[in-house]
Amino acid sequence: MSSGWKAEILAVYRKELQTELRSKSGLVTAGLFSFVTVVTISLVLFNKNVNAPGSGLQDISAGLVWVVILFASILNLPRTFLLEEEQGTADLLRLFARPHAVYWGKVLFNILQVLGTATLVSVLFLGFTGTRVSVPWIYVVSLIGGSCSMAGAVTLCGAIVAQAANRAALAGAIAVPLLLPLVQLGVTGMRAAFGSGLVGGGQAAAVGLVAYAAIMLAIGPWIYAAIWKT
Amino acid sequence: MAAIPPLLVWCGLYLYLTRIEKKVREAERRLSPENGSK
Amino acid sequence: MDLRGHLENLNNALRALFALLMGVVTVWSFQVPDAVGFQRPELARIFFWHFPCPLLLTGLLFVGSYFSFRHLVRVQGFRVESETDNRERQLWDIRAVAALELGFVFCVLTMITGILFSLVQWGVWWQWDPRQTSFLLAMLVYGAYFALRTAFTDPEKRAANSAAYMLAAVLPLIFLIFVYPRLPQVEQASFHPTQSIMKGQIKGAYAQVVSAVIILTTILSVWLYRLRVRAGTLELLAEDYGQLETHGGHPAPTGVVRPVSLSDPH
Repeated sequence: MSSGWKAEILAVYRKELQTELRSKSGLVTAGLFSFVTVVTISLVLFNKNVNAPGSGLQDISAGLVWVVILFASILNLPRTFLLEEEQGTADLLRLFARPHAVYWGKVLFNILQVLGTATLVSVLFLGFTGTRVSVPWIYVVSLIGGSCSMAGAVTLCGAIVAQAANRAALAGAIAVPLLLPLVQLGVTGMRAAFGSGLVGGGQAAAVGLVAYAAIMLAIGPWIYAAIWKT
Repeated sequence: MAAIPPLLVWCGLYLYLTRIEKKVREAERRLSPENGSK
Repeated sequence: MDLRGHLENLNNALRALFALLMGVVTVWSFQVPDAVGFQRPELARIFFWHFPCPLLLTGLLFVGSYFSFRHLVRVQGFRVESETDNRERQLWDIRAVAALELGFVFCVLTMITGILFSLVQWGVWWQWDPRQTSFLLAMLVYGAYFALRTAFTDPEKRAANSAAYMLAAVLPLIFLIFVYPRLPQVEQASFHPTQSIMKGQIKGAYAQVVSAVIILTTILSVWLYRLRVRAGTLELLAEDYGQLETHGGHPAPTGVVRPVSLSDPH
């Protein structure tokens, strides 16, 4: 029985991956958006030494990283479900797979996407602004936990709005309120990682983010299963 | 100044009440025999 | 006078009594002595009106989420076949919307009274106080819920998807309302006194007035909720009335006897 699950989930995941690799539009959009936004932010921070202690700019940097990742995700992630509806393949999916497997397959792919976006944003941001990371492990754990939570929540919101009017913008709009607590945790973690906040607070935030991710990913399939036949 | 909050609370709830009553009136109007097709 | 007339009289009498109670409690809230420990003691009364709102808001939020859950949970496992099943699910959706609409009203009231309180006590209207921020985010969730509802034209999809969103939002909301303001580093930065209510520092006349306002607003909420549910069911009936089938493709309830006018003909 469990091998059936794994096969289904992997099948959905591979299908997403292959579709994306064929057209690459999602990758390109996310990549371009990240690059352009980071350049804009760096420009806005010109001539400012971000690492100067007490300048408050480290806190702002921490916030900005999350904002870029959040909005890049909102642009990109709902597409996994929206495209199914738009291309008319949604019913086919309902015929051949079980809801939990569909959800997990798509979430796994989206986690990959977000992690990729987050890495790209991190590299660009740290490179362009020159921000120093004092506590790397908090940075990494916050990023991973935050990315997984984001993937879970935005994928679910994509599924919820898949048949709605104005769905692309709506998916992002309704996902953001769910993610703001996550952003709060994430920024706390990142401030600690940049050396401007307390390490204890950063640790707690990093753990909180992982827990948030776990819970989001646990309840997501059940909620999706409840609505997927409508 | 201290009078504002109670006024707010009562007025806010009252405004909501008027909205509900409007809905009820509209629905009753549609259901009444002179309007319905049966 | 017939039974209906008697019941109407009783209803009106109860309403008059309630209105009287509201007036009495309002006046009473102005009579209690000013509170010490506040920057502007005479304006601490705003607390009487500010405090019940988030309580009701939270209660209605979880009630609404529960109704959303009940709306969805029958669908899993078997298809909705009969008309009664469908009707029951629609009822749960109406109840959820009623609770959440009322909750939204209280959310707005919470924010406004909170802003007023903050203005008079500390001179600024927004302080990024953790509880203030939490309830702002709750308001965003409400806004998203109603925005989602407007985006669907099909009633079944609208009900199911908005119910799903509420369920997805329950956990972040629990975190925001209960966990976040109690985290140690956050509690220190907070302007909200989390201990004063728990440790019973609100005593005597203040406690009585607050309790009275809470009870009155709760009664009012229940009444408004039931009225809203009645409005929703009437709307549902009105939509299907005079048609051959409902939106979901089920046969519409046909009038076997001549329908009774709901408005009093006299």
